Amino acid sequence: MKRICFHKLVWSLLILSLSLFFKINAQNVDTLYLGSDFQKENIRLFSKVNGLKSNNRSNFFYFGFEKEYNTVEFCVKNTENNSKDLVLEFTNALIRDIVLLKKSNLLFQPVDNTGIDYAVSKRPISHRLFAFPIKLKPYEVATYKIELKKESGKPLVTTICLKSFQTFSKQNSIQQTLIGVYFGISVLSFLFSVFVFFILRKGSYLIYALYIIFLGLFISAYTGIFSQIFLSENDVFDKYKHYVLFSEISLLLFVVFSQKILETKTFMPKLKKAVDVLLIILVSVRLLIHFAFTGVFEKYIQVFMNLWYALFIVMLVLVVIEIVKYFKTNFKRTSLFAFAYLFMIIGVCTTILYHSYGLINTMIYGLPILFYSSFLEIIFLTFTIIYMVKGIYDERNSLSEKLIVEEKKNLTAFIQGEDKVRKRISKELHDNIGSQLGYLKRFISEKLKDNTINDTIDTICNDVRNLSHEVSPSDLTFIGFEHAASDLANSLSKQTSLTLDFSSYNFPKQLDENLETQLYRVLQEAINNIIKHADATHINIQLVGHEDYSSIIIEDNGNGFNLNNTSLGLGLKNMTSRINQIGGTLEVDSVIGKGTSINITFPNI
Amino acid sequence: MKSQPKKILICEDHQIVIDGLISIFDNQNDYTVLDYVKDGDLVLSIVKEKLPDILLLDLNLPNKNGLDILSDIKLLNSEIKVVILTMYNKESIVKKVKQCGGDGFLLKNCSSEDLLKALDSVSEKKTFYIGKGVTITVNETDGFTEKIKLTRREKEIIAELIKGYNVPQIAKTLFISPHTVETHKKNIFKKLNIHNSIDLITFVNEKNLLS
Repeated sequence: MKRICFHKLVWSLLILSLSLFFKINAQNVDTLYLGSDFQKENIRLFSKVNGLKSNNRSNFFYFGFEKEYNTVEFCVKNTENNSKDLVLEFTNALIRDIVLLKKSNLLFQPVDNTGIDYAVSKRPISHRLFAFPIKLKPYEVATYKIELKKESGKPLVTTICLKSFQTFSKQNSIQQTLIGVYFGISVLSFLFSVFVFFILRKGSYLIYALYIIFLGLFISAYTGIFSQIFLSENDVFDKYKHYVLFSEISLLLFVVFSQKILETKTFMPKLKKAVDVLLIILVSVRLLIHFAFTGVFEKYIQVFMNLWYALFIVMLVLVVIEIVKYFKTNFKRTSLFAFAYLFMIIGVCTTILYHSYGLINTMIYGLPILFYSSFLEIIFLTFTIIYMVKGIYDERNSLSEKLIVEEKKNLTAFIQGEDKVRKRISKELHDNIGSQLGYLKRFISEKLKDNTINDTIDTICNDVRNLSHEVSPSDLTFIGFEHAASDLANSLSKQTSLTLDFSSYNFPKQLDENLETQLYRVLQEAINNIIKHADATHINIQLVGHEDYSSIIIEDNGNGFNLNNTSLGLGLKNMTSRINQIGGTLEVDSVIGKGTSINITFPNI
Repeated sequence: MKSQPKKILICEDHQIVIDGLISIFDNQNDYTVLDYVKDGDLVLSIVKEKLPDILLLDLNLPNKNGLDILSDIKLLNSEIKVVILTMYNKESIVKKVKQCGGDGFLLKNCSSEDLLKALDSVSEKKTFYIGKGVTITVNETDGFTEKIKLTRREKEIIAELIKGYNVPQIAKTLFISPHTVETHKKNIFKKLNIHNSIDLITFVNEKNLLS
């Protein structure tokens, strides 16, 4: 027997959980003790009472019941000269029926009752767990009795706490915050996975979204929020059935989702089959026991549940093997998933140990370990998903980058091929045909002395020369780009009604041959485009050389065009590709009605 | 002078042209063909070996281009006359040939008379012979490179710059990209040989550039 002083509590309560071994002294009335009529076989003592810690502001003790109906008797005393509000709290969601009775005139009178068989409004205090308010007058010594009916066929372990009303409310607000955070994260994860599903159209993300929903429902049913939120005040609710249904659906979804994440279908089909079979057995057996054959299984439910747990553990182990195997394939994803899985196992196992075997206290701030573990599980699973999505996007990006590089390569190859052919044709025209025409002319003029024929041949020679030049400017080698550009501008000025202003300042005299060819082809293409499409009267070509780069600006006063116009797009792409090939940049600015300007800069080589 | 025929070396890679030329020279006594070369690389060594008076040189030869050969020969011996015989008909090429010290410029479709006239001219006089049909304008200077001329766009940009606008603002007003404006700005600075906007304002005020 010990005396405990609480901070702001005037109440001092001692738990005599070991009362079966120690004789209770009725004279020490600031104690909570079990009534003498409590049957020894009804209580299962399994842990030390930890209400002795000075910072623990509540007294609580555990019960493990085997029988369906149980009673607990206890005494409380107010040691102060003012009345006190207390709350008696039951931290088990699976109690069917509790009746609180108070002793007056040697008889126990019922004070209140609650349980999962009751409507929400029947519950004595607004709280997720079952709780009774207890009022004590100054120096009052009160004796209470609890009559408890538990879920049939299941061993019931429950914690009964006596708290001051302040502690109860304070803990309640912490709980509210935790629950808020939990469901906030759940909703975010849900929205994210639904969003990803709509974008990527992959079933596993939808499964995850559903899993979050059902896990949330399961947790809310387990902590009692479900009945508060989803059922109307007058509904008679069966928390236990919801609890079983949601737990089985979320188990199903979790395992299916884990199979997708671990890609068991492709990497370990045999293991997947085993897991699938076990999963179906587990889920169907559990649902059948609780919904269809309640009566039949009631008697042997303990045996069935033990069998179920054994199978469940086998399945958990199989999934662990899958995880270990999958580590080799995708280390990061598997590690994230393994953490999530670890938390799931911790939550489930503590819950089983608590409810079925009564081995551990699982409450932290009035919320079960399952709540915290599933919270961490969701966080890790969401990270897994984020990592998967990131992987997919990285892959897509690198693919499209590769595609762009490939396209550029193709265009370059195309241009190079075209240039090669052009060069050959031009050379053929220029050297071969031109030379032979010259010979022909001299030959004919000597024989015939006919001027018209001479002139005609001269004209043909000129045409061939111009054609050859247009196809490929081979004279660039001799005169350089600057002169060739100037010649082009001069000849176009003479041939067309266009005014071509050509100016050059400090432009390098000697440039790489390929570079000059590309520049010239781009200039030709630009001028051709202007003549064909722009309806301009004036073209300005300016070359300026700087220390290590040069610029060419081609401006016209034509119609301008929309840069998104696809018919002009190919020509522009071609020009850009040529300029990119020589390490330069090409930029086009066009304003409808105001003209176009092409700005080329390139490094001097 | 006429007692001894001038020795001619033909540098040309087309057999048909060579044959045509040889047939022209076969019919007269003033000139005689020493040999012909088809490879640009071999021209110099053959010139050294055969010592011709006149070279008929094509600009397009395999391995070495005609302009380089011309420069090398003039370096070796400026007395050797070089007449270019080519398909190219471009003012700037003619200028280049002249710069390199060539003595005449003929098109391949010139007549036999024109060819002989050219050879006569270059062997007697020092002036540059220009064949029939060759494009050449009277203006001899390379006008466009030295004179500083601002384009309309550049003037627009200078006007904006001296108003104190920055590149992105100018780009917005003139409907062109900032990169283009930047290029224009650098070009203007380069052309005017200035380095910042203050210099530009001084320059514009001094030269009254925009009016």
